[in-house]
Amino acid sequence: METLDVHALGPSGSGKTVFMASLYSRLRIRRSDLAFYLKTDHDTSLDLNAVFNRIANPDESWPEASQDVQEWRFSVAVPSSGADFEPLRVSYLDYPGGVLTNPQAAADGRIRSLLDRLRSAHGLLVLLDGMAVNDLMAGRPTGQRYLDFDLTSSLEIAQQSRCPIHFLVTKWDLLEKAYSLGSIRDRLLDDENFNDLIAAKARDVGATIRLIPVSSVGSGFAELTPEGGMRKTGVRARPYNVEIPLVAVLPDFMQFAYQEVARREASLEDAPGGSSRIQALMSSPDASAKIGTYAAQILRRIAPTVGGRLLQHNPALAALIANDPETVAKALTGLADRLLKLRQEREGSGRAAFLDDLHRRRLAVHSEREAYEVLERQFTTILDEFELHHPDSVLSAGTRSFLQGAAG
Amino acid sequence: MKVQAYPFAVARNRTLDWRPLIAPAPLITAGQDFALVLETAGQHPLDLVQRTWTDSSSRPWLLAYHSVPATRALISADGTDQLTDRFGRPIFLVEGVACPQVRSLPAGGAKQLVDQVHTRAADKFREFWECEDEEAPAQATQALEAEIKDAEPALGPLWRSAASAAGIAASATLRSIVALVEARLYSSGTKVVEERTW
Repeated sequence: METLDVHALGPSGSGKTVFMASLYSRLRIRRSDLAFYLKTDHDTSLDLNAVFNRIANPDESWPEASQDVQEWRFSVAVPSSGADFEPLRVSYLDYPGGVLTNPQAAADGRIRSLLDRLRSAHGLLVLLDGMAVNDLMAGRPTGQRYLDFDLTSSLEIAQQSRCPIHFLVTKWDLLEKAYSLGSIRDRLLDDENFNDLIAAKARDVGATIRLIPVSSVGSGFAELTPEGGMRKTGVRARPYNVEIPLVAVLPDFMQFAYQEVARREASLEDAPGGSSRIQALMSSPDASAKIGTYAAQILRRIAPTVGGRLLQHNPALAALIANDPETVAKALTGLADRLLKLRQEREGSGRAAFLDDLHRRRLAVHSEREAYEVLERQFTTILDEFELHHPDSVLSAGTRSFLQGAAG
Repeated sequence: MKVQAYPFAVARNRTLDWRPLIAPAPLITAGQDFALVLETAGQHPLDLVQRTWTDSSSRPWLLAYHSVPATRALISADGTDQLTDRFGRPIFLVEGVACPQVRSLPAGGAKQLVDQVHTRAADKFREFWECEDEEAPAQATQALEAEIKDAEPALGPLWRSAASAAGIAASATLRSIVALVEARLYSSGTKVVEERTW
């Protein structure tokens, strides 16, 4: 599998570095309920552990603001009884958030390259600073100013991209007692710019957009000071939901790719009634399997030249397909069918039995392909359950919507 | 060796992220002053650091700098506690000199130059502390000239390509001659012609 570029967007202080350090800290060890863990090179591991240790240590100050551009690379490893397989790689760019709003920075060649890479990501995590959201919810002018000015550049880049987008409400530990995710969602959608962005992305791109509450440190770890800063309380760090954005990227991107390829192919048949072929497939009883096969055929056909409109509309997806068409085709083939069956299995057997089965499958993995299937099962399950418990987290599309569409 | 040293300083404040506060006039003109932010990243506070950097026109620079905690004393008469941003993260002031066509300076000479920048950097920081204007540009600095014994000249593309082709090392005298030629070519705005050899 090709590397997925999953990058964060957010002004200075929104928590880009802390989020990644916390995510790595949580997933560098395989947890009992997870079939995977994160691997990285020794230097990256040392850097991220140092950041998280500084965060978690109540006697140390918060980590300094990022000053340069760094790329963190991870493999998602699936340990079987014989070996560890790494079917998915993820790249995450970290940078000083001020470069998104500082015109001096925009003149620098390295920053321009950074912005290009952000725009062509496979998945974007827009970090909404929990302190600013707190101000917004309390009706303080600083909250509205955050939406009107600080976040503008992040939203512009999100607007220019064609990929799934996750809005992460960071520092959720500061908000959870006072506000529900639904009330925050409503307040954000009350903002004309935010609302229009979601509506436009839903209409034009169709990729999933999520609102995910995360806390890199967990409940009670920090409290607001009267001066508006944050102070550590001495409570142990227990990161909350930090794995969800990572877990969501693969299913959301593959579901998006599946729909995007089908849509592009339909739009290529511009003649009157040209989309009838895809419509006929969609309405047939075994629609998802057919579309999966059809998508795979299209991928194989366009891959050699990365031709057609897909390249213009979605360079990230086109590049992924051009680099590894067979793997992507296999991943897309029958995707909707697999996900539907997965849900039925889970609902039929119960969660515990399903997880037991998942771990049996993990131990029996003999190839990257099988490891990928284990990841797909686990990620989709986590995401499906997350959506069930946080229905307000889906701003557009979503796994349940994808499956409902596939089920006809 | 006669060294040109442009003072620079980079910092953050309560609301604005890292940016150059003062920067060499030629870098501001070329829109490359933000490179000072990226090039001086590290685990602050930093003792004296010397590092080389090449700008987009292949001109070599030496950056000699250190960083100090930005304390309340910088912005008012009382207090020595370290300033923090609105999230509680500590703030540092990076101050130093950018020297075109220099490869390295003796430690004493570098410290002497960097120390000269502090008053100017501190003054600018005081003014910057209350700034909320994202578009506020860095203040341009002109070069100080200093005679630094044992300073080592940098060699630009002329030297590098020739030396690479010939696979040779150079004597200090030869390096100085090449650096002088290259400095003249840059300062006169003449494009360095790679084929022109010494």
